[in-house]
Amino acid sequence: MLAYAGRRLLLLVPTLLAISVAVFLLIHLIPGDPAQVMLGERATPAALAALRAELGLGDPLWVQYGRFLGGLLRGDLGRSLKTHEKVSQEIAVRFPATLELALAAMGIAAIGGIGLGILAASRHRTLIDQLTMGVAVVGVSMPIFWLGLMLMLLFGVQLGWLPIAGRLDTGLTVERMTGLVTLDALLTGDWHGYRNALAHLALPALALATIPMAVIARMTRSSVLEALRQDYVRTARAKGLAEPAVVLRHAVRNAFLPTLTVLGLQFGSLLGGAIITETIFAWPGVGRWLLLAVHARDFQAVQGGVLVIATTFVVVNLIVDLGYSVIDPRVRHGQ
Amino acid sequence: MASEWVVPAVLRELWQGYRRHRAGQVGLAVAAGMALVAITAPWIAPESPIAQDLYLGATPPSLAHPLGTDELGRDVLSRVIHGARISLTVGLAAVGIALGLGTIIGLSAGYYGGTFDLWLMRLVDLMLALPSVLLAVVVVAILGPSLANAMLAVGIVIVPQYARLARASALTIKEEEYVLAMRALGASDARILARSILPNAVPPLIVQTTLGMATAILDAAGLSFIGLGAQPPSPEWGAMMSQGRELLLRAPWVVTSPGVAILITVLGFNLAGDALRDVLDPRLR
Repeated sequence: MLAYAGRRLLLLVPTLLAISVAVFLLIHLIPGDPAQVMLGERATPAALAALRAELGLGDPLWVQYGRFLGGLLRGDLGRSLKTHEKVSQEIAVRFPATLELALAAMGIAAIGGIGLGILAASRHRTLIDQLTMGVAVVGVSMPIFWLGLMLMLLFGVQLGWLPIAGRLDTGLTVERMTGLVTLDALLTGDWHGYRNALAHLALPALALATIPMAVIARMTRSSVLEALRQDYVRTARAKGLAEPAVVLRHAVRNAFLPTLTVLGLQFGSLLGGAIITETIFAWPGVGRWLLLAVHARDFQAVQGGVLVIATTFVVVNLIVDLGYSVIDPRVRHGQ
Repeated sequence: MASEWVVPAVLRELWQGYRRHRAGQVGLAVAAGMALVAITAPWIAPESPIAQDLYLGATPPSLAHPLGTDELGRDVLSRVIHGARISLTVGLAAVGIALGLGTIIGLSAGYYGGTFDLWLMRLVDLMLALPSVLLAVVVVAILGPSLANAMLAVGIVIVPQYARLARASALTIKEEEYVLAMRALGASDARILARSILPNAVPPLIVQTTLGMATAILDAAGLSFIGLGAQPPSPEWGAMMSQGRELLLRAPWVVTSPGVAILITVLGFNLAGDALRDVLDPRLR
């Protein structure tokens, strides 16, 4: 197990290096003069020269990359061209918000998706199966930006049940410990803050969870169906086990591996989807900040944001891979 | 040679299975319907998609404007109809880019193997290791926001999926005896690739292309919604919703209609793609 984990960790190094090269090249792939693009048409020659010097654009590419990588290793992502704040600082403030939203959405998607998938598979070729899969195909076809606006209109405005923007009511604060507001409120025993934060989290998390939930439901259904066809399931039935026990204890356990892969991959689509969801719900996370940076042509910030999101995704998938080897011994023995 | 009848035979078989698939028929009907709307847009749209009537402003659905008007007094129905044209074009172009590049890369990587294959596949793995929306945002950030660049971004981002499929087909077919026979008879690599390996890669690529249309339309609309794709006054569905967002409370119909249009179109392609996959791999049904 340890050897497998070590091997997998070692493989992380080239992946992260490749991501760093790609992110570094981002500025150099801009057609035309990067300094001009960042500062706009009306920039003075002096300002352009200053920016070129600040970014070291005159040096050979490999020198620039060396400096970039050295900075990364020290946790230095440069300074935002617009706010002049440290990019690492700006991300550190916002990352917990994105993480909280993504984790909440993942929780909804995993519980809902696996539940629906098992339900559909155990009622194979019945109305319930068809209905569930009908809902799932609508789910994967859903433009989440539209769904987000509709949820806002219905639950936020018409019914007035839930708040539609931000993480807490204005004026309300929760003592910061982890940066995950719901968790912080729980830790400090602030029930009012907890309920408020949870209400703010509900709509964006639900909108963000829709597509992954539908994908997970479809995947779970087909892998449970596949497992239900195996000999060991026939044996379980033959020895007189009740159908729920057959499905839950024999089929679902074996069907869990492909589902776990999808969970890991869907986390990536969640992080991507966070860019859109955070924008709609004015959620102060990395996704919304990254989009603002793209619009402002603040490439230092864009580089930092892309790097952090990509690294998070790679690390999550590493955790999923390690999770496999715990569940399935064949994986760690390389069979 | 063989291939003259291989492709039609494969397609005929696919169609025979497809015809019996009810959800697939619905999907095909929806996709074909949208295509028809897109082609005939200038003739069936009651008004111009960009003609403004500022005195009118945002009015709710009525007989004169079945889907209402937006804040500039433009007919929402006409804009949605013209939007079909943009979204389907974007979908076709993005998938076309991915299909073309992906097939060439995948077939040659699988067929030639070696270091070429190794490096190419590492690049593909790296691209697959990143969230696709993030990649698309990065591509648009580099090239600048416009509909054409969003189209390109969505296309580039999905190249790896096609490359993988084509490569897998090439790997399984290249050792077949009839391929070895072609080579023994002196056929060139290009001829072998085009005549015997490509036809076998067609069925999985058809499935991927159909499902890819759905994803491409959805992603491109998403990019336009966040201001990185089509720009006003374009009647692109995502861009329409982005503008209508400001009026969500006062004129929700401006946002609702393009959203429903996206949902129906994407659903159509997804149903059709799922049906094709079911026919090719009945185990999953």
